[in-house]
Amino acid sequence: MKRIILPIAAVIFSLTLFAQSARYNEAMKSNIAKMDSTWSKEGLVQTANTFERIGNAEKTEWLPFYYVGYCLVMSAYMEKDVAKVDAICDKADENLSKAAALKPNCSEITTVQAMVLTARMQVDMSRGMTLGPKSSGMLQAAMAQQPTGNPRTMMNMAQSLYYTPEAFGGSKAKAIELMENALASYATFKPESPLHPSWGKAYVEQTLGQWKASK
Amino acid sequence: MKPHTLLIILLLSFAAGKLAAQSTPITGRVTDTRKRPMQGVSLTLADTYDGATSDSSGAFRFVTSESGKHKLQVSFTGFAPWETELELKGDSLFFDIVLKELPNELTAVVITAGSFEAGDAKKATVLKPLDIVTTASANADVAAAMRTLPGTQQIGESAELFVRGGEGYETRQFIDGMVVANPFFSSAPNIASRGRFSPFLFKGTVFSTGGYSALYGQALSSALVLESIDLPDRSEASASISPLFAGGQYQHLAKNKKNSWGVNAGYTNLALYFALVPQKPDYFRSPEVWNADANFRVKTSASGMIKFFASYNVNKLGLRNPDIDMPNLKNAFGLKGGNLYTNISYRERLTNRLMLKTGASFSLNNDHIKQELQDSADQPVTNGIPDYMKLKTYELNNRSMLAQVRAVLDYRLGGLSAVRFGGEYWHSKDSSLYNKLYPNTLTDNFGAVFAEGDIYITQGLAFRAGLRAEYSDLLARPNIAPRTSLAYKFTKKAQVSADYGIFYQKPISQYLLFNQQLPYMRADHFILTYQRMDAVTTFRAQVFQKNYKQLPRFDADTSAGGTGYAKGFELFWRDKKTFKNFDYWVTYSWLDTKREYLNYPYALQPSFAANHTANLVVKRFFTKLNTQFNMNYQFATGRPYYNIRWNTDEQDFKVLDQGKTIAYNSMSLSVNYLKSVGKAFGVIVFSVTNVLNSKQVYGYQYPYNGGEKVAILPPARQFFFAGIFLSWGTDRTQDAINNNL
Repeated sequence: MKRIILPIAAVIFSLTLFAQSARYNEAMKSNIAKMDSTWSKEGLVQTANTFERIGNAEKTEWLPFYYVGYCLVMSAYMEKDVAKVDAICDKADENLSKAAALKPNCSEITTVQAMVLTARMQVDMSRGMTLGPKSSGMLQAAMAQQPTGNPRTMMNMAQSLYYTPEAFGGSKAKAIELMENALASYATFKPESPLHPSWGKAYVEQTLGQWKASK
Repeated sequence: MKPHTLLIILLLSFAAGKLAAQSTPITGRVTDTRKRPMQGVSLTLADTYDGATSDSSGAFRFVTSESGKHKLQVSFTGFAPWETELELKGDSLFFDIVLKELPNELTAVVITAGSFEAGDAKKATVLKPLDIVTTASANADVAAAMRTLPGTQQIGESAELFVRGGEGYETRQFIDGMVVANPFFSSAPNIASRGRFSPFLFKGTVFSTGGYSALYGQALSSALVLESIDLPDRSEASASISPLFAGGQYQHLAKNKKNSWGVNAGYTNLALYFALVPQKPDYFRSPEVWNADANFRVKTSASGMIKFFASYNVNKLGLRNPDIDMPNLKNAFGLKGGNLYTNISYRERLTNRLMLKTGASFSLNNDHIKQELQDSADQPVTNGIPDYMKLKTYELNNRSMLAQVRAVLDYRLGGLSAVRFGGEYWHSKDSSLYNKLYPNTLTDNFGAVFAEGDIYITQGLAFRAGLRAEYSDLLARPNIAPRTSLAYKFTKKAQVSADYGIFYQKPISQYLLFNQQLPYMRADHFILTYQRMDAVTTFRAQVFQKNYKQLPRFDADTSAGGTGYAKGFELFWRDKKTFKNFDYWVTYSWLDTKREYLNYPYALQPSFAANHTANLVVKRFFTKLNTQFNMNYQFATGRPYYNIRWNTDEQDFKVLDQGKTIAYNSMSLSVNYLKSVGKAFGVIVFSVTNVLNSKQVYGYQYPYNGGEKVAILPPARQFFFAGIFLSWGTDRTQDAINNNL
């Protein structure tokens, strides 16, 4: 009997695991698809909430928490009432810290953390004095964490370069060049799995077009 | 059975199990306590993927295949989490959920709405740290920037802040909680100096024009509370060059970002400037300052920080003016000053609720003043003059030392409510030596204990009650000062608050030297504030009444029976929205004040008080030009002046003459141009005060034996400044960018 029970138990166990991870993959995939097709603040909050549920249920996966941070920072960019921005950013930071605790030194997480700092700057431009250098410091760290190049880090760096006044070290020409490199690196960049971050290509193409047109 | 058959059976039974599972629909609605629907609220069946987000009507719906006992958790940023146990049996469930807003500094009523705060903390503040350095008339002087706010007087002949009918010494400055004994450089009579401390040392500034916390004492009118910066963002070297001064600074941040140190040295000399811009007095020694400071900061834990700052500076100046009594003679005034200031502070969160803030400070100030009556050839005159003229030649050594320790515990009660208590001890020694012959020393051991509670009854209603008890060894008496505030917020943006408090201050040492029986001077404050604030505009209106008691008097009995009052209203409006890229504020202050003190024979409006004061401050940054333009206009109606003399027959002071000066007008401009210079980030600054060259009269002085009064005028009507500030940060941004190009 033992000879049969043990394999059966093993099979059931692995099946449950399989079902579990299939469920996780399924839920993540559908929510990522939802996130990619959402262009409203409310929609982003909704996907963030779903990612948060998945993250809290799974406990050991960093990706759901990462996506909560990403969705929320995007919703913060869209928030017109600047008085609400800090609270949204606080929640984004909280989730990104959870992600970073599960996956330390991750370029993707650090990049979104830098985006949160940029979002906070819109509350009050005078924050740029302190948050600007902090944000670019995080992007540098993100670059160091992925020496092969992360197109999302490059895109964010290009953005900050574009909007920084020249006196503060900004350069529109360099920004365009960097954005082109970001676009090129999307071609070679392979996400580890379909669930890993792969966003931003369409945005880079669009922005690059606009920048070149206004040159 | 073959293994694959087993697998199929297992899979089938697994799928069947899934199919057979019941599904329970969960629906409901989320509102806030005012029954308004809440959108974006997250609802979760704990530890499952199941849940929903509420829509714009607050409604939600989801279906779960789970069964048995579960928890439904509801969360929304800024609101208290809500949860309930439920049993899933397939029957649909409905929940009517009301979320309660959490106490939040952003939305709660502000107890201290009466003060002006500049900090980059998250809460909305009236001012930003940059405002202090971009105010055209201030030339990066903290106190001068505060002079564009309501409640302050435009006093051109002093660097001090004269607030709501108070003397300059009634405003005290505090750095990290500790009082600063000599915040301004010593100067010649009726010539304003500057603050000793650069605004770049501070991350937060709170300027209270009355009714402030029991944590601060020995300031009758006003408190300027400065908080030094924590760790810098990066290592940086900087230099400043101007025809007036040159300086260099280095700030080092450790790689682990846990500690930093910095040094700074500078030299100021106005000789070149005075050669270009003629001054009214004859400067035989143009003002000169040597200064050096050093700091270190250590992050001792996630919430612990030690900060140390020390500065030393030496200043010298010498000038001659025609003597007021004998205009063929000259009065020469020479000053050599030395000042050492040190401050160390430590803060740590001891438990989740308890915070300790402690510190110690030591300062030593030496001023050597040489006053001499000179003839037209600048030679001393000692003979052939009346006795009262002989008094005009003297030497004075003033030395003041202050050592203090302080500790404050801050205990959070939950929500925003908190209690604070603590104490401080000051040891001071003020000595003066007249003509190297008459030493006079005042030593004081002064202690204070204080307690204060901020209680939020609701988000919109809060009060503060505080008590401060002090004892001065020198005055040999205690005092007890209650302070209280009540604040009520009635809409999202508007609130009213009321403050009451008793404030005590020791008479300044020049009076105590004559009479050590003087009690504390006392002022009672009553303030009503209305404030309406959103992200881009601030409107504030205040009315106040201040009653003075126990002020020193120079009567026959040299008593402390001086009294006085000040009342008035003030308006402040700041707007960053109406005009694009334009940021401006306007203030108006009306003041009615009289006091009977010093040699005033009866209640008079003091010579430092104007009835109407107004400010317009405008700032605009032109992104394309990398240039910020700042302008401000300061206006005040004339101030009274008096000729008060002792009448020996009547044994009383008499007002022989009085009048009012012309109104004060000053328009200032400054331009900050940002430019990279080589590898450095540069700011080039030009500024001019009193662009319109308006005549300014600060008061009048009278000769001893009657005769024509003489106007107190600024040394020059205008002040011009040009300078360049460079900084080289060890910023690797450019390298990182280039690596990716």
